[in-house]
Amino acid sequence: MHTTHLTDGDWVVEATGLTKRFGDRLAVDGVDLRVARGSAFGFLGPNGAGKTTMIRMLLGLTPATAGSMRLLGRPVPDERTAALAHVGAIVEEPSFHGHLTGRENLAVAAACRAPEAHARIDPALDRMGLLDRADDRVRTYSMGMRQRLGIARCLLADPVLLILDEPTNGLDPAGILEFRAFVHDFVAEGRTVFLSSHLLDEVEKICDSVAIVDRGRIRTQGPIAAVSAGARPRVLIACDDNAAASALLAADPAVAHVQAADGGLSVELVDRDDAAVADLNRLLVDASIAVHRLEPARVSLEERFLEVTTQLGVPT
Amino acid sequence: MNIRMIRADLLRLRKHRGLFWWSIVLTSGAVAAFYGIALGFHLHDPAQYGPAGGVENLRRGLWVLSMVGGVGAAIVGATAGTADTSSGVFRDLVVTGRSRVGLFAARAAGAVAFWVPLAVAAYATLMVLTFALAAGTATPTLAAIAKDGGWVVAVTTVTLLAGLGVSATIGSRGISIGVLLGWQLAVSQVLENVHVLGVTREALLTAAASRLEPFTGDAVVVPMSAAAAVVAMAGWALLPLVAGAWRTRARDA
Repeated sequence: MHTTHLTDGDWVVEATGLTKRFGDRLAVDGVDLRVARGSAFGFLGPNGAGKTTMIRMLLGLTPATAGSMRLLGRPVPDERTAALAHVGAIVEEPSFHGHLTGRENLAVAAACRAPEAHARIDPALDRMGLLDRADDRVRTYSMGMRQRLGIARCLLADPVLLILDEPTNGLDPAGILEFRAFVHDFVAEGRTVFLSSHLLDEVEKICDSVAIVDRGRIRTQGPIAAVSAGARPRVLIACDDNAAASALLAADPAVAHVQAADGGLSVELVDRDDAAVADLNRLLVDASIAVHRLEPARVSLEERFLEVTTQLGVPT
Repeated sequence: MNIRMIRADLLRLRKHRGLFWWSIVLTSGAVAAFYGIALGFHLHDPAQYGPAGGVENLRRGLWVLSMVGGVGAAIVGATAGTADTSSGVFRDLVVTGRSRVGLFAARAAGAVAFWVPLAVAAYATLMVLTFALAAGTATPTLAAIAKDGGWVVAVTTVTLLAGLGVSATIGSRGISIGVLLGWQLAVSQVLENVHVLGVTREALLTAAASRLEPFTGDAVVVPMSAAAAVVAMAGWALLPLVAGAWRTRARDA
Protein backbone atom coordinates (compact mmCIF):
# COMPACT_ATOMS: atom_id res chain seq x y z
CA MET A 1 0.00 0.00 0.00
CA HIS A 2 1.24 3.46 -0.86
CA THR A 3 -1.46 5.40 0.92
CA THR A 4 -0.78 4.61 4.55
CA HIS A 5 -0.37 8.29 5.36
CA LEU A 6 -4.14 8.72 5.12
CA THR A 7 -6.17 8.79 8.31
CA ASP A 8 -9.13 6.55 9.13
CA GLY A 9 -11.68 9.14 8.00
CA ASP A 10 -10.15 9.27 4.55
CA TRP A 11 -11.20 5.75 3.61
CA VAL A 12 -14.57 5.23 1.97
CA VAL A 13 -14.18 1.48 1.75
CA GLU A 14 -12.35 -0.62 4.29
CA ALA A 15 -12.47 -4.39 4.25
CA THR A 16 -10.51 -6.71 6.48
CA GLY A 17 -10.28 -10.45 5.98
CA LEU A 18 -13.38 -10.40 3.82
CA THR A 19 -14.29 -13.91 2.80
CA LYS A 20 -17.14 -15.44 0.84
CA ARG A 21 -17.61 -19.14 0.40
CA PHE A 22 -20.23 -20.77 -1.85
CA GLY A 23 -20.30 -24.35 -0.60
CA ASP A 24 -16.79 -25.69 -1.15
CA ARG A 25 -15.81 -22.86 -3.48
CA LEU A 26 -13.95 -19.92 -2.04
CA ALA A 27 -15.06 -16.90 -4.11
CA VAL A 28 -13.40 -14.21 -1.99
CA ASP A 29 -10.48 -15.19 0.19
CA GLY A 30 -9.55 -12.96 3.11
CA VAL A 31 -9.50 -9.69 1.19
CA ASP A 32 -8.01 -6.59 2.83
CA LEU A 33 -8.96 -3.50 0.86
CA ARG A 34 -8.90 0.25 1.41
CA VAL A 35 -10.20 2.87 -0.97
CA ALA A 36 -9.21 6.50 -0.44
CA ARG A 37 -11.85 9.22 -0.41
CA GLY A 38 -12.03 11.41 -3.52
CA SER A 39 -10.22 9.02 -5.83
CA ALA A 40 -11.08 6.95 -8.86
CA PHE A 41 -10.27 3.44 -7.74
CA GLY A 42 -10.00 0.56 -10.17
CA PHE A 43 -10.92 -2.93 -9.04
CA LEU A 44 -9.27 -4.95 -11.73
CA GLY A 45 -9.40 -8.64 -12.35
CA PRO A 46 -10.25 -11.27 -14.93
CA ASN A 47 -13.80 -12.56 -15.25
CA GLY A 48 -14.66 -14.81 -12.33
CA ALA A 49 -11.94 -13.33 -10.10
CA GLY A 50 -14.45 -12.42 -7.37
CA LYS A 51 -14.91 -8.72 -8.12
CA THR A 52 -18.70 -8.73 -8.24
CA THR A 53 -18.99 -10.99 -5.20
CA MET A 54 -16.82 -8.55 -3.28
CA ILE A 55 -19.03 -5.64 -4.35
CA ARG A 56 -22.19 -7.56 -3.48
CA MET A 57 -20.87 -8.13 0.02
CA LEU A 58 -19.97 -4.47 0.44
CA LEU A 59 -23.49 -3.47 -0.58
CA GLY A 60 -25.23 -6.05 1.59
CA LEU A 61 -26.59 -7.98 -1.37
CA THR A 62 -25.06 -11.18 -0.06
CA PRO A 63 -23.69 -11.86 3.41
CA ALA A 64 -19.98 -12.28 3.98
CA THR A 65 -18.79 -15.63 5.33
CA ALA A 66 -16.12 -13.90 7.41
CA GLY A 67 -14.35 -10.58 7.82
CA SER A 68 -15.42 -7.02 8.49
CA MET A 69 -16.31 -4.06 6.29
CA ARG A 70 -16.81 -0.33 6.65
CA LEU A 71 -18.46 1.92 4.10
CA LEU A 72 -17.99 5.68 4.53
CA GLY A 73 -16.60 4.91 7.97
CA ARG A 74 -19.68 2.99 9.07
CA PRO A 75 -19.61 -0.72 9.83
CA VAL A 76 -21.71 -2.80 7.51
CA PRO A 77 -24.04 -4.60 7.74
CA ASP A 78 -24.69 -3.09 11.20
CA GLU A 79 -25.10 0.48 9.90
CA ARG A 80 -25.86 -0.47 6.34
CA THR A 81 -28.86 1.84 5.94
CA ALA A 82 -26.96 4.96 7.01
CA ALA A 83 -23.91 4.04 4.95
CA LEU A 84 -25.79 3.22 1.75
CA ALA A 85 -27.82 6.43 1.94
CA HIS A 86 -24.77 8.14 0.41
CA VAL A 87 -23.72 5.38 -1.95
CA GLY A 88 -24.84 4.93 -5.55
CA ALA A 89 -24.17 1.57 -7.12
CA ILE A 90 -24.59 -0.34 -10.32
CA VAL A 91 -23.96 -4.05 -9.90
CA GLU A 92 -23.34 -6.03 -13.10
CA GLU A 93 -25.81 -4.15 -15.28
CA PRO A 94 -28.47 -1.63 -14.32
CA SER A 95 -31.96 -3.13 -14.29
CA PHE A 96 -35.22 -1.29 -14.83
CA HIS A 97 -38.91 -1.88 -15.21
CA GLY A 98 -39.17 -1.84 -19.00
CA HIS A 99 -42.82 -0.80 -18.96
CA LEU A 100 -42.04 2.38 -17.02
CA THR A 101 -40.45 5.50 -18.44
CA GLY A 102 -36.98 6.61 -17.44
CA ARG A 103 -38.42 9.27 -15.19
CA GLU A 104 -40.83 6.80 -13.56
CA ASN A 105 -38.04 4.32 -12.95
CA LEU A 106 -36.07 7.02 -11.17
CA ALA A 107 -39.20 7.93 -9.19
CA VAL A 108 -39.43 4.31 -7.99
CA ALA A 109 -35.80 4.44 -6.85
CA ALA A 110 -36.16 7.92 -5.35
CA ALA A 111 -39.03 6.66 -3.19
CA CYS A 112 -36.52 4.42 -1.42
CA ARG A 113 -34.11 7.30 -0.86
CA ALA A 114 -34.32 10.43 1.27
CA PRO A 115 -37.25 12.77 0.44
CA GLU A 116 -34.97 15.23 -1.39
CA ALA A 117 -34.04 12.51 -3.89
CA HIS A 118 -37.22 13.20 -5.86
CA ALA A 119 -36.05 16.74 -6.64
CA ARG A 120 -32.83 15.29 -8.09
CA ILE A 121 -34.61 13.26 -10.79
CA ASP A 122 -34.68 15.93 -13.51
CA PRO A 123 -31.18 17.28 -12.82
CA ALA A 124 -29.81 13.72 -12.92
CA LEU A 125 -31.60 12.98 -16.20
CA ASP A 126 -30.36 16.26 -17.61
CA ARG A 127 -26.78 15.60 -16.57
CA MET A 128 -26.85 12.19 -18.21
CA GLY A 129 -28.36 13.66 -21.39
CA LEU A 130 -31.61 11.78 -21.01
CA LEU A 131 -34.09 14.57 -20.38
CA ASP A 132 -35.44 14.40 -23.93
CA ARG A 133 -36.16 10.69 -23.59
CA ALA A 134 -37.21 10.78 -19.95
CA ASP A 135 -40.85 10.06 -20.76
CA ASP A 136 -40.16 7.16 -23.11
CA ARG A 137 -40.45 3.64 -21.83
CA VAL A 138 -37.13 2.15 -20.81
CA ARG A 139 -37.69 -0.90 -23.00
CA THR A 140 -37.08 1.43 -25.97
CA TYR A 141 -33.70 2.58 -24.59
CA SER A 142 -30.38 1.48 -26.04
CA MET A 143 -27.78 -0.22 -23.85
CA GLY A 144 -25.85 3.03 -23.57
CA MET A 145 -28.95 4.92 -22.48
CA ARG A 146 -29.66 2.28 -19.85
CA GLN A 147 -26.13 2.65 -18.51
CA ARG A 148 -26.59 6.41 -18.33
CA LEU A 149 -29.96 5.98 -16.66
CA GLY A 150 -28.27 3.67 -14.16
CA ILE A 151 -25.78 6.40 -13.32
CA ALA A 152 -28.63 8.92 -13.09
CA ARG A 153 -30.25 6.60 -10.56
CA CYS A 154 -27.01 6.58 -8.57
CA LEU A 155 -27.00 10.38 -8.53
CA LEU A 156 -30.37 10.46 -6.75
CA ALA A 157 -28.43 9.72 -3.56
CA ASP A 158 -26.04 12.63 -4.18
CA PRO A 159 -23.44 9.94 -3.56
CA VAL A 160 -20.16 10.31 -1.75
CA LEU A 161 -19.21 6.92 -3.21
CA LEU A 162 -20.17 5.50 -6.60
CA ILE A 163 -19.64 1.78 -7.05
CA LEU A 164 -19.78 0.83 -10.72
CA ASP A 165 -19.42 -2.78 -11.77
CA GLU A 166 -18.29 -3.21 -15.38
CA PRO A 167 -19.96 0.08 -16.32
CA THR A 168 -18.75 0.22 -19.92
CA ASN A 169 -20.12 -3.17 -20.90
CA GLY A 170 -22.10 -2.72 -24.07
CA LEU A 171 -21.05 0.88 -24.62
CA ASP A 172 -19.77 2.00 -28.00
CA PRO A 173 -16.47 3.95 -28.20
CA ALA A 174 -18.28 7.29 -27.98
CA GLY A 175 -20.18 6.07 -24.96
CA ILE A 176 -16.95 4.92 -23.30
CA LEU A 177 -15.36 8.33 -23.85
CA GLU A 178 -18.46 9.99 -22.43
CA PHE A 179 -18.36 7.68 -19.44
CA ARG A 180 -14.73 8.54 -18.73
CA ALA A 181 -15.66 12.21 -18.73
CA PHE A 182 -18.45 11.53 -16.24
CA VAL A 183 -16.06 9.74 -13.90
CA HIS A 184 -13.52 12.55 -14.08
CA ASP A 185 -16.27 15.05 -13.29
CA PHE A 186 -17.50 13.00 -10.34
CA VAL A 187 -14.02 12.79 -8.86
CA ALA A 188 -13.53 16.52 -9.46
CA GLU A 189 -16.69 17.08 -7.41
CA GLY A 190 -15.10 15.22 -4.51
CA ARG A 191 -16.93 11.95 -5.01
CA THR A 192 -15.14 8.61 -4.93
CA VAL A 193 -15.62 6.26 -7.86
CA PHE A 194 -15.01 2.56 -7.28
CA LEU A 195 -14.79 1.05 -10.72
CA SER A 196 -14.78 -2.69 -11.16
CA SER A 197 -13.60 -3.87 -14.54
CA HIS A 198 -11.74 -6.51 -16.45
CA LEU A 199 -10.70 -3.89 -19.02
CA LEU A 200 -7.15 -2.79 -18.28
CA ASP A 201 -7.13 0.10 -20.69
CA GLU A 202 -10.29 1.52 -19.15
CA VAL A 203 -8.94 1.35 -15.61
CA GLU A 204 -5.56 2.75 -16.59
CA LYS A 205 -7.18 5.75 -18.30
CA ILE A 206 -9.76 6.50 -15.63
CA CYS A 207 -8.35 5.53 -12.26
CA ASP A 208 -5.75 6.93 -9.87
CA SER A 209 -5.20 3.73 -7.97
CA VAL A 210 -5.99 0.12 -8.46
CA ALA A 211 -6.31 -3.26 -6.81
CA ILE A 212 -5.69 -6.35 -8.90
CA VAL A 213 -7.81 -9.27 -7.83
CA ASP A 214 -7.45 -12.83 -8.98
CA ARG A 215 -9.02 -16.04 -7.75
CA GLY A 216 -10.68 -14.25 -4.86
CA ARG A 217 -7.57 -12.53 -3.52
CA ILE A 218 -6.10 -9.07 -3.86
CA ARG A 219 -2.73 -9.63 -5.52
CA THR A 220 -1.52 -6.05 -5.35
CA GLN A 221 -2.98 -2.60 -4.76
CA GLY A 222 -1.88 1.02 -4.78
CA PRO A 223 -1.48 3.97 -7.17
CA ILE A 224 -1.34 2.78 -10.76
CA ALA A 225 2.25 3.95 -11.29
CA ALA A 226 3.37 2.12 -8.16
CA VAL A 227 1.53 -1.06 -9.08
CA SER A 228 3.01 -1.00 -12.57
CA ALA A 229 6.46 -0.36 -11.13
CA GLY A 230 6.03 -3.41 -8.95
CA ALA A 231 6.38 -5.63 -12.00
CA ARG A 232 9.66 -7.36 -12.68
CA PRO A 233 11.97 -5.02 -14.58
CA ARG A 234 12.57 -5.80 -18.21
CA VAL A 235 15.21 -4.78 -20.68
CA LEU A 236 15.01 -4.93 -24.44
CA ILE A 237 18.13 -6.19 -26.16
CA ALA A 238 18.96 -6.09 -29.85
CA CYS A 239 22.03 -8.10 -30.91
CA ASP A 240 23.46 -9.99 -33.88
CA ASP A 241 22.69 -13.52 -32.62
CA ASN A 242 19.39 -13.81 -30.81
CA ALA A 243 19.53 -17.57 -30.40
CA ALA A 244 22.94 -17.59 -28.76
CA ALA A 245 22.11 -14.56 -26.64
CA SER A 246 18.85 -16.11 -25.51
CA ALA A 247 20.56 -19.32 -24.40
CA LEU A 248 23.28 -17.41 -22.62
CA LEU A 249 20.91 -15.03 -20.81
CA ALA A 250 18.43 -17.76 -19.81
CA ALA A 251 21.21 -19.47 -17.89
CA ASP A 252 22.08 -16.34 -15.93
CA PRO A 253 20.67 -16.32 -12.36
CA ALA A 254 19.78 -12.60 -12.63
CA VAL A 255 17.36 -13.36 -15.49
CA ALA A 256 13.86 -14.61 -14.81
CA HIS A 257 12.67 -15.04 -18.36
CA VAL A 258 13.78 -14.39 -21.95
CA GLN A 259 11.53 -14.14 -24.96
CA ALA A 260 11.76 -12.86 -28.50
CA ALA A 261 10.29 -9.41 -29.01
CA ASP A 262 10.35 -6.98 -31.95
CA GLY A 263 13.30 -8.67 -33.66
CA GLY A 264 15.30 -8.69 -30.43
CA LEU A 265 14.90 -10.10 -26.96
CA SER A 266 12.79 -9.07 -24.02
CA VAL A 267 14.65 -10.01 -20.85
CA GLU A 268 12.82 -10.11 -17.55
CA LEU A 269 15.12 -9.58 -14.57
CA VAL A 270 14.72 -11.13 -11.14
CA ASP A 271 15.45 -7.80 -9.40
CA ARG A 272 15.58 -4.12 -10.26
CA ASP A 273 19.34 -3.82 -10.36
CA ASP A 274 21.31 -1.60 -12.75
CA ALA A 275 24.46 -3.56 -12.08
CA ALA A 276 22.75 -6.71 -13.31
CA VAL A 277 21.94 -4.98 -16.60
CA ALA A 278 25.60 -4.01 -17.02
CA ASP A 279 26.58 -7.60 -16.21
CA LEU A 280 24.26 -8.91 -18.92
CA ASN A 281 25.83 -6.58 -21.45
CA ARG A 282 29.28 -7.75 -20.40
CA LEU A 283 28.18 -11.38 -20.62
CA LEU A 284 27.04 -10.95 -24.21
CA VAL A 285 30.08 -8.97 -25.28
CA ASP A 286 32.42 -11.54 -23.69
CA ALA A 287 30.64 -14.20 -25.75
CA SER A 288 31.39 -12.17 -28.91
CA ILE A 289 27.75 -11.21 -29.38
CA ALA A 290 27.43 -7.66 -30.69
CA VAL A 291 24.85 -5.69 -28.73
CA HIS A 292 23.19 -2.99 -30.84
CA ARG A 293 20.70 -1.80 -28.29
CA LEU A 294 19.99 -2.31 -24.59
CA GLU A 295 17.22 -0.30 -22.97
CA PRO A 296 14.83 -0.60 -20.06
CA ALA A 297 11.24 -1.42 -21.08
CA ARG A 298 8.35 0.61 -19.73
CA VAL A 299 6.12 -1.77 -17.77
CA SER A 300 2.44 -1.07 -18.33
CA LEU A 301 -0.42 -1.92 -16.04
CA GLU A 302 -1.39 -4.56 -18.56
CA GLU A 303 1.93 -6.34 -18.16
CA ARG A 304 1.69 -6.09 -14.40
CA PHE A 305 -1.86 -7.41 -14.54
CA LEU A 306 -0.84 -10.34 -16.70
CA GLU A 307 2.14 -11.06 -14.47
CA VAL A 308 -0.04 -11.10 -11.37
CA THR A 309 -3.01 -12.97 -12.78
CA THR A 310 -1.17 -15.66 -14.71
CA GLN A 311 0.79 -17.08 -11.80
CA LEU A 312 -1.43 -20.14 -11.75
CA GLY A 313 -0.40 -22.53 -9.07
CA VAL A 314 2.16 -20.16 -7.59
CA PRO A 315 1.67 -19.81 -3.84
CA THR A 316 1.01 -16.22 -2.77
CA MET B 1 -41.72 1.46 4.39
CA ASN B 2 -43.25 4.84 3.72
CA ILE B 3 -46.10 6.27 1.68
CA ARG B 4 -43.72 7.23 -1.15
CA MET B 5 -42.62 3.60 -1.50
CA ILE B 6 -46.23 2.40 -1.58
CA ARG B 7 -47.08 4.98 -4.22
CA ALA B 8 -44.07 3.86 -6.25
CA ASP B 9 -45.22 0.25 -6.08
CA LEU B 10 -48.73 1.31 -7.06
CA LEU B 11 -47.31 3.23 -10.03
CA ARG B 12 -45.37 0.18 -11.12
CA LEU B 13 -48.51 -1.98 -11.15
CA ARG B 14 -50.82 0.68 -12.58
CA LYS B 15 -48.51 1.33 -15.53
CA HIS B 16 -48.35 -2.38 -16.35
CA ARG B 17 -50.94 -2.12 -19.10
CA GLY B 18 -51.47 -5.83 -19.66
CA LEU B 19 -51.94 -6.47 -15.96
CA PHE B 20 -54.22 -3.46 -15.58
CA TRP B 21 -56.57 -4.36 -18.43
CA TRP B 22 -56.66 -8.06 -17.61
CA SER B 23 -57.53 -7.15 -14.03
CA ILE B 24 -60.48 -5.11 -15.30
CA VAL B 25 -61.56 -7.92 -17.62
CA LEU B 26 -61.45 -10.43 -14.74
CA THR B 27 -63.42 -8.19 -12.38
CA SER B 28 -65.81 -5.68 -13.95
CA GLY B 29 -65.63 -7.51 -17.28
CA ALA B 30 -66.64 -10.80 -15.69
CA VAL B 31 -69.55 -9.16 -13.93
CA ALA B 32 -70.72 -7.42 -17.11
CA ALA B 33 -70.40 -10.67 -19.07
CA PHE B 34 -72.41 -12.60 -16.48
CA TYR B 35 -75.24 -10.08 -16.46
CA GLY B 36 -75.12 -9.81 -20.24
CA ILE B 37 -75.63 -13.56 -20.54
CA ALA B 38 -78.36 -13.54 -17.87
CA LEU B 39 -80.12 -10.69 -19.71
CA GLY B 40 -79.86 -12.57 -22.99
CA PHE B 41 -81.50 -15.65 -21.47
CA HIS B 42 -84.22 -13.51 -19.91
CA LEU B 43 -84.98 -11.70 -23.15
CA HIS B 44 -84.97 -14.98 -25.07
CA ASP B 45 -87.33 -16.79 -22.70
CA PRO B 46 -88.76 -14.61 -19.89
CA ALA B 47 -90.99 -17.42 -18.67
CA GLN B 48 -88.08 -19.75 -18.10
CA TYR B 49 -85.47 -17.18 -17.03
CA GLY B 50 -86.30 -14.37 -14.62
CA PRO B 51 -84.88 -10.84 -14.73
CA ALA B 52 -81.10 -10.66 -14.84
CA GLY B 53 -80.96 -8.24 -11.90
CA GLY B 54 -82.44 -8.23 -8.43
CA VAL B 55 -81.59 -10.28 -5.37
CA GLU B 56 -82.26 -13.52 -7.18
CA ASN B 57 -79.22 -13.26 -9.41
CA LEU B 58 -77.07 -11.33 -6.95
CA ARG B 59 -75.72 -14.49 -5.35
CA ARG B 60 -74.63 -15.88 -8.71
CA GLY B 61 -73.10 -12.53 -9.66
CA LEU B 62 -71.16 -12.44 -6.40
CA TRP B 63 -70.00 -16.01 -6.93
CA VAL B 64 -68.75 -15.10 -10.42
CA LEU B 65 -66.93 -12.05 -9.07
CA SER B 66 -65.35 -13.97 -6.20
CA MET B 67 -64.19 -16.82 -8.45
CA VAL B 68 -63.11 -14.95 -11.59
CA GLY B 69 -61.99 -11.96 -9.56
CA GLY B 70 -60.03 -14.40 -7.40
CA VAL B 71 -58.16 -15.51 -10.51
CA GLY B 72 -57.37 -11.88 -11.25
CA ALA B 73 -56.29 -11.31 -7.66
CA ALA B 74 -53.94 -14.30 -7.79
CA ILE B 75 -52.39 -12.97 -11.02
CA VAL B 76 -51.96 -9.46 -9.63
CA GLY B 77 -50.54 -10.79 -6.36
CA ALA B 78 -48.08 -13.10 -8.09
CA THR B 79 -47.01 -10.33 -10.45
CA ALA B 80 -46.50 -7.86 -7.61
CA GLY B 81 -44.58 -10.45 -5.61
CA THR B 82 -42.04 -11.18 -8.32
CA ALA B 83 -41.83 -7.98 -10.42
CA ASP B 84 -38.74 -6.62 -8.66
CA THR B 85 -36.82 -9.87 -8.67
CA SER B 86 -37.72 -10.89 -12.22
CA SER B 87 -36.77 -7.47 -13.62
CA GLY B 88 -33.59 -7.33 -11.54
CA VAL B 89 -34.66 -4.05 -9.94
CA PHE B 90 -34.78 -5.66 -6.49
CA ARG B 91 -30.97 -5.49 -6.30
CA ASP B 92 -31.01 -1.81 -7.19
CA LEU B 93 -33.58 -1.11 -4.49
CA VAL B 94 -31.65 -3.08 -1.87
CA VAL B 95 -28.52 -1.01 -2.50
CA THR B 96 -30.44 2.10 -1.46
CA GLY B 97 -30.09 0.76 2.08
CA ARG B 98 -33.81 0.21 2.60
CA SER B 99 -34.63 -2.89 4.60
CA ARG B 100 -35.76 -5.80 2.51
CA VAL B 101 -38.75 -6.39 4.76
CA GLY B 102 -39.69 -2.72 4.26
CA LEU B 103 -39.45 -3.17 0.49
CA PHE B 104 -41.65 -6.27 0.74
CA ALA B 105 -44.19 -4.53 2.93
CA ALA B 106 -44.43 -1.63 0.47
CA ARG B 107 -44.91 -4.15 -2.32
CA ALA B 108 -47.82 -5.76 -0.45
CA ALA B 109 -49.42 -2.43 0.42
CA GLY B 110 -49.02 -1.23 -3.18
CA ALA B 111 -50.68 -4.40 -4.48
CA VAL B 112 -53.63 -3.92 -2.12
CA ALA B 113 -53.88 -0.26 -3.17
CA PHE B 114 -53.97 -1.42 -6.79
CA TRP B 115 -56.47 -4.22 -6.25
CA VAL B 116 -59.09 -2.85 -3.88
CA PRO B 117 -60.31 -0.04 -6.21
CA LEU B 118 -60.66 -2.60 -9.02
CA ALA B 119 -62.63 -4.96 -6.80
CA VAL B 120 -64.81 -2.12 -5.52
CA ALA B 121 -65.42 -0.90 -9.08
CA ALA B 122 -66.45 -4.40 -10.13
CA TYR B 123 -68.77 -4.68 -7.18
CA ALA B 124 -70.23 -1.27 -8.01
CA THR B 125 -70.82 -2.51 -11.56
CA LEU B 126 -72.52 -5.57 -10.13
CA MET B 127 -74.77 -3.46 -7.95
CA VAL B 128 -75.69 -1.07 -10.77
CA LEU B 129 -76.69 -4.04 -12.93
CA THR B 130 -78.52 -5.68 -10.03
CA PHE B 131 -80.71 -2.61 -9.67
CA ALA B 132 -80.92 -1.68 -13.35
CA LEU B 133 -81.97 -5.16 -14.46
CA ALA B 134 -84.21 -5.95 -11.45
CA ALA B 135 -87.37 -5.41 -13.53
CA GLY B 136 -89.49 -4.90 -10.43
CA THR B 137 -88.11 -7.83 -8.46
CA ALA B 138 -86.60 -7.44 -4.97
CA THR B 139 -83.35 -5.51 -4.69
CA PRO B 140 -80.76 -5.74 -1.88
CA THR B 141 -80.96 -3.55 1.21
CA LEU B 142 -78.20 -1.09 2.11
CA ALA B 143 -76.98 -3.47 4.81
CA ALA B 144 -76.84 -6.34 2.35
CA ILE B 145 -75.00 -4.18 -0.17
CA ALA B 146 -72.35 -3.31 2.41
CA LYS B 147 -72.06 -6.88 3.66
CA ASP B 148 -71.85 -8.46 0.22
CA GLY B 149 -69.32 -5.90 -0.92
CA GLY B 150 -67.16 -6.35 2.15
CA TRP B 151 -67.18 -10.08 1.68
CA VAL B 152 -66.19 -10.13 -1.99
CA VAL B 153 -63.49 -7.50 -1.55
CA ALA B 154 -62.10 -9.34 1.49
CA VAL B 155 -62.07 -12.76 -0.19
CA THR B 156 -60.34 -11.53 -3.33
CA THR B 157 -57.86 -9.42 -1.34
CA VAL B 158 -56.89 -12.44 0.75
CA THR B 159 -56.27 -14.33 -2.50
CA LEU B 160 -54.18 -11.38 -3.72
CA LEU B 161 -52.02 -11.41 -0.58
CA ALA B 162 -51.69 -15.20 -0.71
CA GLY B 163 -50.53 -14.90 -4.33
CA LEU B 164 -48.04 -12.20 -3.43
CA GLY B 165 -46.61 -14.14 -0.51
CA VAL B 166 -46.41 -17.43 -2.38
CA SER B 167 -44.74 -15.85 -5.42
CA ALA B 168 -42.23 -13.96 -3.29
CA THR B 169 -41.43 -17.24 -1.56
CA ILE B 170 -41.17 -19.36 -4.69
CA GLY B 171 -39.70 -16.62 -6.86
CA SER B 172 -41.69 -17.59 -9.93
CA ARG B 173 -44.82 -15.78 -11.09
CA GLY B 174 -46.06 -18.51 -13.41
CA ILE B 175 -45.59 -21.37 -10.97
CA SER B 176 -47.20 -19.37 -8.17
CA ILE B 177 -50.29 -18.59 -10.25
CA GLY B 178 -50.57 -22.22 -11.29
CA VAL B 179 -50.16 -23.54 -7.74
CA LEU B 180 -52.60 -21.06 -6.25
CA LEU B 181 -55.31 -21.49 -8.86
CA GLY B 182 -54.90 -25.25 -8.88
CA TRP B 183 -55.26 -25.29 -5.13
CA GLN B 184 -58.22 -22.91 -4.98
CA LEU B 185 -60.19 -24.13 -7.95
CA ALA B 186 -59.53 -27.86 -7.76
CA VAL B 187 -57.68 -29.33 -4.78
CA SER B 188 -59.39 -27.24 -2.13
CA GLN B 189 -62.85 -27.96 -3.55
CA VAL B 190 -62.14 -31.68 -3.42
CA LEU B 191 -60.69 -31.58 0.10
CA GLU B 192 -63.76 -29.75 1.38
CA ASN B 193 -65.74 -32.88 0.58
CA VAL B 194 -63.33 -35.36 2.13
CA HIS B 195 -65.20 -35.68 5.44
CA VAL B 196 -62.57 -37.86 7.04
CA LEU B 197 -60.37 -34.74 7.28
CA GLY B 198 -62.79 -33.38 9.87
CA VAL B 199 -62.04 -29.98 11.38
CA THR B 200 -58.78 -29.61 9.46
CA ARG B 201 -60.95 -28.62 6.51
CA GLU B 202 -61.70 -25.41 8.38
CA ALA B 203 -58.24 -24.26 7.37
CA LEU B 204 -59.22 -24.23 3.69
CA LEU B 205 -59.66 -20.75 2.27
CA THR B 206 -62.60 -21.83 0.12
CA ALA B 207 -64.34 -23.33 3.16
CA ALA B 208 -63.77 -20.23 5.27
CA ALA B 209 -64.92 -17.96 2.46
CA SER B 210 -68.09 -20.04 2.00
CA ARG B 211 -68.81 -19.87 5.72
CA LEU B 212 -68.62 -16.08 5.67
CA GLU B 213 -70.64 -15.78 2.49
CA PRO B 214 -73.39 -13.30 3.36
CA PHE B 215 -76.32 -15.33 2.02
CA THR B 216 -78.31 -16.89 4.77
CA GLY B 217 -79.87 -20.26 4.40
CA ASP B 218 -77.23 -21.66 2.07
CA ALA B 219 -75.78 -24.96 3.22
CA VAL B 220 -72.03 -24.84 3.83
CA VAL B 221 -69.92 -27.90 3.08
CA VAL B 222 -67.64 -27.42 6.09
CA PRO B 223 -69.58 -26.21 9.13
CA MET B 224 -67.50 -23.92 11.34
CA SER B 225 -67.88 -20.86 13.52
CA ALA B 226 -67.58 -17.41 11.98
CA ALA B 227 -64.57 -16.75 14.23
CA ALA B 228 -62.82 -19.86 12.90
CA ALA B 229 -63.53 -18.72 9.35
CA VAL B 230 -62.10 -15.26 10.05
CA VAL B 231 -58.98 -16.81 11.58
CA ALA B 232 -58.58 -19.12 8.57
CA MET B 233 -58.86 -16.23 6.14
CA ALA B 234 -56.43 -14.11 8.15
CA GLY B 235 -54.03 -17.05 8.15
CA TRP B 236 -54.26 -17.36 4.37
CA ALA B 237 -53.30 -13.70 4.08
CA LEU B 238 -50.64 -13.57 6.78
CA LEU B 239 -48.76 -16.87 6.53
CA PRO B 240 -47.78 -16.49 2.86
CA LEU B 241 -46.81 -12.87 3.59
CA VAL B 242 -44.57 -13.93 6.46
CA ALA B 243 -42.99 -16.58 4.25
CA GLY B 244 -42.53 -14.06 1.44
CA ALA B 245 -40.98 -11.50 3.78
CA TRP B 246 -38.63 -14.12 5.19
CA ARG B 247 -37.58 -15.22 1.69
CA THR B 248 -37.11 -11.61 0.57
CA ARG B 249 -34.92 -10.97 3.59
CA ALA B 250 -32.81 -14.08 3.05
CA ARG B 251 -32.57 -13.94 -0.74
CA ASP B 252 -29.26 -13.11 -2.44
CA ALA B 253 -29.92 -9.97 -4.46
